[in-house]
Amino acid sequence: MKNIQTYFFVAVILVLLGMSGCAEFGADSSRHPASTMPKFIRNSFQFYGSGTLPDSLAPLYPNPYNRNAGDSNVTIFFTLSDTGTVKIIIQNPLGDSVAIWRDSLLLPGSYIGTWNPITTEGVRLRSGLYFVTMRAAPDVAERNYIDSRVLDIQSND
Amino acid sequence: MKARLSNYTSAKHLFAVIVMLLMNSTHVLAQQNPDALPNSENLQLYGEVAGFIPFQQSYRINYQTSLAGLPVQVTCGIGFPITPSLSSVLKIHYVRRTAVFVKDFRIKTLEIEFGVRDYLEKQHDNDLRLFGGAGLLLGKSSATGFIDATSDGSAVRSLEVSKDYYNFGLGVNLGIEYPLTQSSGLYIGINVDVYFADPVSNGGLGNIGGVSVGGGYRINI
Repeated sequence: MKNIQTYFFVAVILVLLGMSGCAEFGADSSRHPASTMPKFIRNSFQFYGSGTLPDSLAPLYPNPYNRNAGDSNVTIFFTLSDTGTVKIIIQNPLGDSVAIWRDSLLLPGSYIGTWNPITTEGVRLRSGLYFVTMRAAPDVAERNYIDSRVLDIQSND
Repeated sequence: MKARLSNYTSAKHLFAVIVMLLMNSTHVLAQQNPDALPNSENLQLYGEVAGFIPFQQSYRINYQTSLAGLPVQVTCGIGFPITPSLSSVLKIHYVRRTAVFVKDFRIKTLEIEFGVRDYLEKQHDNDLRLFGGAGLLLGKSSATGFIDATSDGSAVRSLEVSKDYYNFGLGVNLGIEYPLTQSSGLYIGINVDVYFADPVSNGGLGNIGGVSVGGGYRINI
């Protein structure tokens, strides 16, 4: 009888390991099913000015973003020193992507845009902390630029 | 979306079934062994320290466990014997993890586990004894960090903010215990925690569970 209990516990542990994706240790996140991949969320975005400025992601505003107080969009301002691909993604506190705001090839300069905080599925993001992360990969530079800003979303949703 | 909703609903149903099974088994065992009901002189106290490996890849890569400078999860618990081998247990796990990709950002998780622990072998003097356990988990994770607080892009100031995330799940464990005295022992074991609620897709933390391997001390009082 005790042996049966032992086998039962071992079996339950193995089943739970399988359920939680433990078999994917070291797996590449790009292997996630297409249905869970973030979609592009289109919001306003425009060229703000030219000039030789370093890569940077300015503080987001308003921050905290309070939906209940009437905040509608978050303003994102960044500068790019060289022509290259810029990707700005929104991540949960663990670093999982919940939305992609911008992924495009851009010329050097300053850019400004607004983002309405919604999920990949188009649902409004709930109250919580998020990372807005900019990744710039210039065509000529060897090193990428990466910077993150923490965004505090306050909502009753 | 429907599939995710279905999985979420199934998880809730599974959770409810497990709660009922646990409650029922505890009740039945107590009825079958009226002489073995717990008494105040036979409570079990547990203290554990373990290494923690999260299931979620992002949680594993982007964070490291750091509790007072040590990469450990701590657990304390209390057990109420039902039979000579079976106890109902209430445990509290605490793990603090700091982000490695952004400065001064951390997640502290406090888990409450209600379950059972069963010795799978009879007790013999100076001999190892195998045990297993299972329990329901309620987790509260607090993410804390600093934002550049501003309403219009000017007058930026650093502000510490914190948000709580709640989740529930299931935990199982398996270990071996070496008796030190009649009423105490040292044990090592593996604990597996899986969380079902709070999906990443709507801004939650997802499955913040993982595997913890460590050791502890039990004493009966």
